Amino acid sequence: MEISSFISKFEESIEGLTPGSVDEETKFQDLEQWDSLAVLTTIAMADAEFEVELSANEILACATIRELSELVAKKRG
Amino acid sequence: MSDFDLTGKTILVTGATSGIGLAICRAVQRMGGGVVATGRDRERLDEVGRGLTAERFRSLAADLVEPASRDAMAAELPKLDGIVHGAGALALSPSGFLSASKLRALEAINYEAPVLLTSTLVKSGTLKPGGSVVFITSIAGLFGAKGHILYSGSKGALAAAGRSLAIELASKRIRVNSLAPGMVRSGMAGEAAGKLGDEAMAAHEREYPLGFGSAEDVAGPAVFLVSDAAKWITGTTLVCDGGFTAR
Repeated sequence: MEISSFISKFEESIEGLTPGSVDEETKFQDLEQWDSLAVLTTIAMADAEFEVELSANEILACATIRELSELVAKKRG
Repeated sequence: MSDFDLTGKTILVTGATSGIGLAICRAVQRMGGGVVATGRDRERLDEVGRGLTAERFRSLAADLVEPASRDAMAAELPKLDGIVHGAGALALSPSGFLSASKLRALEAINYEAPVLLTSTLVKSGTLKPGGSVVFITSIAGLFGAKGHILYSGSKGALAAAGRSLAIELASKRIRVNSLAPGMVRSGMAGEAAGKLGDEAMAAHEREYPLGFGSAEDVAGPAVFLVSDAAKWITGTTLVCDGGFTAR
């Protein structure tokens, strides 16, 4: 899985994010658009696009988009 | 004998092996009533039985979303004075990630099964005239919440169907009501907690004037609705949410 494809799916799914607004080092939990619905959306996106089941606590333990992408890649096996 | 007493009454409880359904089985027996418990798992039903008075307990395993399984269970039932539909499922999904399969799966257990089972038991006369039907719905069926579109839809539909059933079955003195809990610490709420994260759940609980509820907190009102103490109550929804929606 390319990190660029994860980033574009992340940008597409979170309401209010525009393409190019996020990079590998973005601290996604500091984004203005990040809220409880964004957590649910990230879980649903990972499931729909990458067939990976994430929990909120796993997501919230990641600091950057890179860490989140690595988590998805690792779970994908 | 108090109108709240259930002595001599037999109550079917679906979703009896966990959470609210299990608490209702215990509460019905505490008030002197007999329980017929149903759930998918034979072993878990037996475990429920071991915690209850044997002579006022029966259990029938069934998968309520499978029509053949549901009908076979219904055919085995004794005459009933009440039905508490506790079986249900919760799935959270944002608006951009809905699918027909997710929608149908939730509707099947939260709406189709309780409505069709009630229909079967009324038609066969298994539910006696004067009986009481209680649908366990949710405050999500009354108010909006992020990610709850499919769950809200299924629970709102059930409460709406309940109101029309209440009108139709009044001629048999059968009462139909919904009981709408807020966040309860049970298996299903735990699943929601995992989805939203521990911090979000702690913040959510602070919005409940009386805090989150327990399954027992919902069992009491359910027993009230099946009892004769509620004999002039039909076609309504009793909210049971620690004051969450009073704000």
